[in-house]
Amino acid sequence: MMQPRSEREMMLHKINVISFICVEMQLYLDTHPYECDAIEYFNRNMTMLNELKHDYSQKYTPLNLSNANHSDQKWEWVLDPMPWEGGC
Amino acid sequence: MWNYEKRLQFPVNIKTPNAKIAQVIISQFGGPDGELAASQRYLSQRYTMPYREVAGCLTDIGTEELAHMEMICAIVYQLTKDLSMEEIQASGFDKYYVDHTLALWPQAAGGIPFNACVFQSKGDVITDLTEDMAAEQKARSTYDNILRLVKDPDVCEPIKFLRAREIVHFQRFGECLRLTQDKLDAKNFYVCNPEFDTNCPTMGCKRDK
Repeated sequence: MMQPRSEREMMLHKINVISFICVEMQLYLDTHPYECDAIEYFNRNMTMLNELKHDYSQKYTPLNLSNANHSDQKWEWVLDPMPWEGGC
Repeated sequence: MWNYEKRLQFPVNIKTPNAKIAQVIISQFGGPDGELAASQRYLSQRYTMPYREVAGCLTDIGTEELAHMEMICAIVYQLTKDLSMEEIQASGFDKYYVDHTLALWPQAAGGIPFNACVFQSKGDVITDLTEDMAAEQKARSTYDNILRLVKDPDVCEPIKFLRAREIVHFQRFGECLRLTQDKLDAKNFYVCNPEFDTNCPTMGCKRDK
């Protein structure tokens, strides 16, 4: 894996890592829905993830429309590179 | 419903195109054990699942498979970007190129188009979960085969990530099967099909409420 260099890459890397924890905990909880420790761990990471995604969207580009920092002038959602183009 | 998130689950940044390897990896897009088949298998099976944990698992794993399909497509796209006509011919990519140029189209490495017959949605929870566990192992084997062919670390890293996810999904489906068996008649798991038989309790099944 390419080591993240810029501040933007580092922030996206952090989002990928925390999001991975959330996906793992989500799948685990699907088959263990009464495990309190796992629920607590999921909630903690999900809060962190939402904050990170919000900050990233404000600073750089929206990851999804719900936390987009809409400009009146341009529709950034479609003007920024798509994820398969590489470099993100 | 679904919301699109504009990032890959794991980054794909390939610096050196390689059309030969792209033709192998495309099998995990549209091949028999690929991510398209995986997503459609789980997202089709979930509707009639009698147990919420299993329906939830199929929804969430099926959703993750869509993200994996996007990663595979990103790998193939970046491996075939900026190819010269000479490279297209020399790598054997010309047979794909003539029909699809450099676009993504779901097919197996051998050129066989994607077909829904590569998966089942049987309407019987034990049958489907057993298929799902096998599917995860088949995909893991395919990733192992790919890793024996690929040397470029830019390609290996995302493939290794996808391989590890197959193992986690296999574990979760195993738990789904155990949860299902806990709810059935321990003397005979097959005495009824809880997705279809309405008289399960009188047949010795415990119904999930």
